[in-house]
Amino acid sequence: MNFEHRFIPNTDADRQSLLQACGVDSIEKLLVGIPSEVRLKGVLANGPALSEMEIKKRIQTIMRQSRYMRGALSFIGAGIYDHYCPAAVNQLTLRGEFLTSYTPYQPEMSQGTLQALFEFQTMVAELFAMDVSNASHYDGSTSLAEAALMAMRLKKDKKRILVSHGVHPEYINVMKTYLTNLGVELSIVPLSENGTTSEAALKSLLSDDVMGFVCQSPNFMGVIENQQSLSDITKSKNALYISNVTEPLSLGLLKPPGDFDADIATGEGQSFGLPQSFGGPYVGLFTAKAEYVRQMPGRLCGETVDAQNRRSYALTLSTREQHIRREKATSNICTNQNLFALWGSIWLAMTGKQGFKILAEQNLAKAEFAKEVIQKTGKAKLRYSKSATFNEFVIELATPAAEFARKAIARGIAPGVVLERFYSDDKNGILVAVTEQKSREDIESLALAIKELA
Amino acid sequence: MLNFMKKTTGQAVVLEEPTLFEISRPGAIAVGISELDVPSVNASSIFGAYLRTNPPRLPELSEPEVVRHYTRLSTWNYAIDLGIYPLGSCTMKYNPRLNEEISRSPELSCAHPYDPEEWSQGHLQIMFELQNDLREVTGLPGVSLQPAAGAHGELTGLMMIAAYHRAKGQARRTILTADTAHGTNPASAALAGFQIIQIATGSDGVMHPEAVVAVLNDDVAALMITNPNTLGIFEKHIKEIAQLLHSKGALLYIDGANLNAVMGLSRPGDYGADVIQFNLHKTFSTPHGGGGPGSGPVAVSALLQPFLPVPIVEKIGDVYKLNSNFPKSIGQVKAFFGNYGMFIRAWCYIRALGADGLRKVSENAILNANYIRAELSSSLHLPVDAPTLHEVVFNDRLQRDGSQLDTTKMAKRLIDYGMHPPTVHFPLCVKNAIMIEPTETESRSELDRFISAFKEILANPDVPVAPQRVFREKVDETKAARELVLTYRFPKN
Repeated sequence: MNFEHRFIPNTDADRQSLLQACGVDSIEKLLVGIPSEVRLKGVLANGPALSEMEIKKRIQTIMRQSRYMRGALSFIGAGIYDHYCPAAVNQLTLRGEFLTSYTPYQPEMSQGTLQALFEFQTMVAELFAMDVSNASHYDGSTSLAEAALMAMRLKKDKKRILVSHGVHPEYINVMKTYLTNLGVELSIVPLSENGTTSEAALKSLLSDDVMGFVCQSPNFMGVIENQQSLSDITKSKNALYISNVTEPLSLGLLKPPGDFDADIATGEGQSFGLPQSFGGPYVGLFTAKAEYVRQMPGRLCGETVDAQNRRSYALTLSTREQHIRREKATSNICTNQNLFALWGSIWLAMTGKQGFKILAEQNLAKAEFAKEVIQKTGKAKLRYSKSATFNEFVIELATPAAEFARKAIARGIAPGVVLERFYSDDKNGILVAVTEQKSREDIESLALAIKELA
Repeated sequence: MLNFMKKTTGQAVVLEEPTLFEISRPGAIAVGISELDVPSVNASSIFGAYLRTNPPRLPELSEPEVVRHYTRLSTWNYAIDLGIYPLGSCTMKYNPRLNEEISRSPELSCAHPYDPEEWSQGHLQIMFELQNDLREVTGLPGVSLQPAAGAHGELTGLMMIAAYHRAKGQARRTILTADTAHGTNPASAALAGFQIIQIATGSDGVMHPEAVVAVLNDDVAALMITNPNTLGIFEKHIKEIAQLLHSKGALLYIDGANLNAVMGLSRPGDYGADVIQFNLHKTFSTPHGGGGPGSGPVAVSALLQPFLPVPIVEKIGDVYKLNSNFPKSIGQVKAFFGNYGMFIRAWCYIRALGADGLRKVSENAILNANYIRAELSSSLHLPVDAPTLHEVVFNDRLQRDGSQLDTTKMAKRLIDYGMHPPTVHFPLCVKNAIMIEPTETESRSELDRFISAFKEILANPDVPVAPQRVFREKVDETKAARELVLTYRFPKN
């Protein structure tokens, strides 16, 4: 039987009448603009059309091995965290009016998206204690790379940027890629013994040609940085202080970038209940001081009025953007990460002022409990025991971490990220994340695995 | 009054809704939090001077209030689920619901990018198969799924082009673009460190080889061109242009924004393209979400394959693996592997259509656009009268003389018919352009609604103010830019 395809409303009869209205008798006659020398001679080899039922069955087969289907336990974090998301968030983001709308260029038809963005910007600015937030960016890593580009625009005569070794290694990779052709030299500021950025090294690397210093707190090792000193040192050479946060739930308890006079502060918003989704989509956070707003990349939503003087919202300062300025734009970015900015907003609105702090306290308490029971095994110690951490910390085994991780994974427990993955000479370290989703029993089974397998 | 409008007897009630911060009440909460099952700790003794002293002013609301807040907001939006969204070069097509269900299911959405490879085989398989699908559609051998959006894919492609020339010991600094190009093209080129030379489109709506020859020299790294271009016209000299470029050591970048027109009909790899970015949110129906997330994979020729971002998914025997061992790679353009949630949706879409269905998508998109062209070309000026594919560009030349109607007004008046306007004032090479792309997912009756609304607007040029039948009338964008208010101003207590 020759069915029409379920995504294509035109039936054969419709096609005939549409062709007639076009004054032709076949689709082929509408393709005359494509020269025959570049027409595909054969047919594509993407396989047959499948029904919904067939697609679902294939997915079920393919996903048999996934962590969820195995019921396995994981303490992997490293920039992406396992936080609970209330059911309403998923359901509200399925509303077609949010899901299937375009960028709100026509404000009269997009006030819902626009008000939600305005609320997002407000909540992100509050969390970071910064003056302004944009309407979101692709993800944390590209937000931070754009922060480096913004620093170039703000400090045009300077050619160096300093980055703490405590910044997420994949973020540093992305920043390096972005800066490849732009004549900027990126230098890494090492960590000290206690896992914080070495202030002595920062002082010695800092010079008058440095545009800015990029720091992350909690850093990749989970350690909370002394941002006040780092910011003071940076500012002593008239460089920009750029603060990055990959676990923004920590801001429920920890001083935000704005408290340290950050000029630009970026982050990853996945912790606002976004699915881990094997690496994306997430939501990049981008904030700055108000005086720098015209050099910010990305979409901004502003409050205004309509013809009846009613409060309204519209995308604004688009004269910075590529569709107006083309090669002179502040960025080539064409969208924000709207659906996931909305997702994060709803999560923040539901979690609320109290819930955000309580969740942060629970993460801290569970991580502290995990540190204690892991140390009690006698098989692992804390690498940075003198430094404060939030919900993630590095343990040091006496034996190779990769070998232990393999055994634990076979038991159905991913103990964390083996640091050798990023630092080839780091053989014994594991980065362990403990969120509110891990029960006491979960934590104890990790400790038991360490005791028995490490 | 048109048939589909008759039921509208006046302004429907649309509920106002204050911001979250104005309806917030101390003490309210919309989540239940489990009792802590480990000893509580004293944050201030752990954090000392790092402890936050100015708590963020997040709203305080119950669950019903949050749900109602966002549901009310949603009613102020237009969406493809409500009707035609004929934005030229934006490909606003229907977003199949199965794709949402599958991509949000826990066995896919609960996966961490650093999960052990043996737990990630399914995810890697989806990525591997999507890489193959995209190779097949474009006829290009190398694919990276990493870029997060179309503009990000452009940047990635241009960085690879720069790396390619650098590896040959050449510092080529110029990218050629067309005057039909999207603004992202020159912006991406500038971001990748290039300067731009723009080539004028011929009066027949396409780029001519002679125009390329005139600016082609040893400094040209690549030509960046959309095909079919933003006039909806296939670049008929593209093969000759590709040969010209290659003969001078330059490369051909195809902007894949309009790929929806040519699936199964023509493949960039077969006519000499070296790189193309996909917009999975256009061609492969992943939802636009009100402006993202996009997903902008790139496909490349053998010349550029060594420079692809890492990691790449490979299949060795029966095992899927991430391979980062490509010494010439430009590196990573995004943390992790790209917008995986969008890969699932695109993979489902391609499975649902199959090879034959993908061609039908393009054919029906072309048919629908040509129907609109046929129906409106008696009343709107067609600045370039060449065969068009999935979109058509008119302008307001017939209206500007003697009436108040211009492109902007036509667009705003369509809103009063419950329809989203087409793209206007783009491409830049057409003055006051009106760029219409209906896509294949519109039925004949939806196309007829749009055509009849447009004709009624043209027949009644003197309506003074539009839009009026909207939640907000003529939003003051000048004031928004002049008196920047980017966050809610909390009252001072």
